[in-house]
Amino acid sequence: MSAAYKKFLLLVLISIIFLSGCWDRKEINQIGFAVGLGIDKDGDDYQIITQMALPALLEGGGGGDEPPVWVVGGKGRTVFEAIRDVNTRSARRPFWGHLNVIVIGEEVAKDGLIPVIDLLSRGQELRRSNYIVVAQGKARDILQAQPKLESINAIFISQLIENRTGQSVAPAVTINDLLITLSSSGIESVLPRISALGQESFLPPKKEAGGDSQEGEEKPKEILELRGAGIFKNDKLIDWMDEETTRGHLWVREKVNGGIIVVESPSEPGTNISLEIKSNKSKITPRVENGKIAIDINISSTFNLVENTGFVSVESEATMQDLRQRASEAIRREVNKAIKKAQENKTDILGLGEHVRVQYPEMWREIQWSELFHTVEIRVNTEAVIQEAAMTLKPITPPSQRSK
Amino acid sequence: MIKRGTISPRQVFFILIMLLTGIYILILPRHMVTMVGTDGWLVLLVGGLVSSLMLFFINRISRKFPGKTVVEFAPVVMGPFLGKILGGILVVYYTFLAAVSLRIFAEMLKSVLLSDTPRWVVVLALVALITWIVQNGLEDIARFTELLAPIILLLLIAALLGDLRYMEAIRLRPMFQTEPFSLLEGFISSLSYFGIIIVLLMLYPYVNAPKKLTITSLLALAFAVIITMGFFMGTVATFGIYETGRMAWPVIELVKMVRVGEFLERVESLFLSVWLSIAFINVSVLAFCSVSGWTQLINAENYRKLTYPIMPLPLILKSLAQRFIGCLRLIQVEFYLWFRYYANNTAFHICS
Repeated sequence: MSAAYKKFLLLVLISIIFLSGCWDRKEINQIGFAVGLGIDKDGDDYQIITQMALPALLEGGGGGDEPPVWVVGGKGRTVFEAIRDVNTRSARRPFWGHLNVIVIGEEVAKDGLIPVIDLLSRGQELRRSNYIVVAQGKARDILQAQPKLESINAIFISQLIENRTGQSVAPAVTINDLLITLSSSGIESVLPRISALGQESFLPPKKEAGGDSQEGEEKPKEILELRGAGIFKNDKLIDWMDEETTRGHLWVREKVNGGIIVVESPSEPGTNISLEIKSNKSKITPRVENGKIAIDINISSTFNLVENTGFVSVESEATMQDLRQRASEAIRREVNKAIKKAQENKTDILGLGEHVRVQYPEMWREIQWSELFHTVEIRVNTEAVIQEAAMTLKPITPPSQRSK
Repeated sequence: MIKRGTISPRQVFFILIMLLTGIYILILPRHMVTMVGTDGWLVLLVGGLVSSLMLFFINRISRKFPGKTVVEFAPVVMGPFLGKILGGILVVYYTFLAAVSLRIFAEMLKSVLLSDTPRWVVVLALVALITWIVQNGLEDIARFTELLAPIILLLLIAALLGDLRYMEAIRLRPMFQTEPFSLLEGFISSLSYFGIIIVLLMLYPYVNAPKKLTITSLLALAFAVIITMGFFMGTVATFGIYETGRMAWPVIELVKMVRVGEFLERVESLFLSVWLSIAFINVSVLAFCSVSGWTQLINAENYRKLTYPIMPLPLILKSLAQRFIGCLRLIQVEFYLWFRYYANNTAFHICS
């Protein structure tokens, strides 16, 4: 090998480093990051709403009142056509890899999720670990709301979902979870419910006095609430669950991780005790008795005593025993609510059928679970363990109440 | 006789693991689920056990003819005519495998990284690369396998662990519900999956300490069985059998879900580069076996000259599997062929 040849080879090697590049690259200033996606129905057409992050405003810090996202929509006969329709309004191509949350409008959910979900499961950029929620009303209202604290509303929603442990009154469902419940036999889907409100739902409704609203400029809603859940039969939304029922469902699915249960104090009627949920175990045992299916649900849970509104300490063995009883009673009530709701709607959101299928596969092939589920006898056993109270041993007692 | 390079048993260990984990790990869960549902792990386990028996025979026969590959000793055992035929079958088999693997490699590279690059550019570049590698001999292939394999294995295991949070044991049940016929079908498939260990027949004369190879190869097989079972069970526990059956690349979907803590996510590009390395090693080893097999079959002096006529074969195959779907079908044909040669080989070993 001659020296000149070697030099030439070296030159080629070095130039590789500098000449490489992606000729089909997409520069960051040519794509828009879609962070939220909402799907609504308009007659037979789909309307989609995307939230595109505006990086310039995000960096700027205090960019004034302007939110750093831009809400833009598209319309089409299929979801994908609607998504492509966005390109006629957006100078940047939406990039879906950083999507945070997908909001399904109520109407879409009632008409069925499958036409919508197919695209979401095929997409190259979309991830199966994205959260999905169902809106009470239009998805557009949710994505246009402007909650405080977080400047991007889609991130706000996904954080609501991740913080749900504070109360455990809404499930967290990813696209993957949804696809599994849609395709598996013996379990039906549940999606968390999100609603956009002008003010917190527990406040009395504002009087729509002429002033603001009449001027035609509707203020974006400021409160987003993630409470309760929509229940589905096959892929169609058929009913809503309130918070307690939702938690009843979560108890059975072993998905409660946090939250408060309030029970009346055993030693002092009229005062309440708050118990914080620490852990949750559930065991579902189907059995066949005289050719009929019956299901036992055993739920056990541990609590921390975090608040005692009364004066009298409950830390004696007898009152603790009573308190445990009350806590387990509270769980049972919630679970029974969920069971009742599921059986009324004839949809097995608790996934009990899955256990029947696993335990009695031969029998499963012969029965029609969706026809049978609402007649099945379900027995609930609950058990509560209360750990000793947090940092304080005794409640606050005013001098007049103290026993000398 | 040209000087043959030498490789160590450890290098063989890594080569075998890479071959066995292989290109097909990406679609293996779907393949198994459509045949045997949740019983895939069982089928893989049994397939692995039977393959270990096979491996035992490979080791014994190769030990009897030290310094010779199967293409060279087959005529001694079975007479010149039958021996050549068997050698020929094996060589064609290696060639076919190499070509199909290269196709899949190119296809994946194209669809994942170079989606707008014309297909022929990708295939041509890979053919040139592999030709160059084969020219350099087995020693080089073994060395870079030894370098890459531990990293690859660690990442594979990490990918599985990163998905633990999504897995639910109930999705793996009910077990043992498969019809006997489908179970047999799945078993054959799993046998053919692990059947690639017959590549060892071509590597034997290059190993500097052949006595250690029995243990080493069995360990490699055991390791590969554990990894494939892990990926099967991980995928099914994460997605359930219905969803797994619906996915084109279940393992990539699995990796896409990986999330460690709040910060480490979207690792699929890393995983794909890992997988591309596996594919690269696979193609190199198979191409080497094919080229050296042809050389020995026609008693040529130097395998290097033969590389040029043989390596463009994948380009011809291109017209056979014009489209990607066609490519997937080829894999099934291959699974079938794999099994056939496997059976042949077993019979031959028992005879000798």
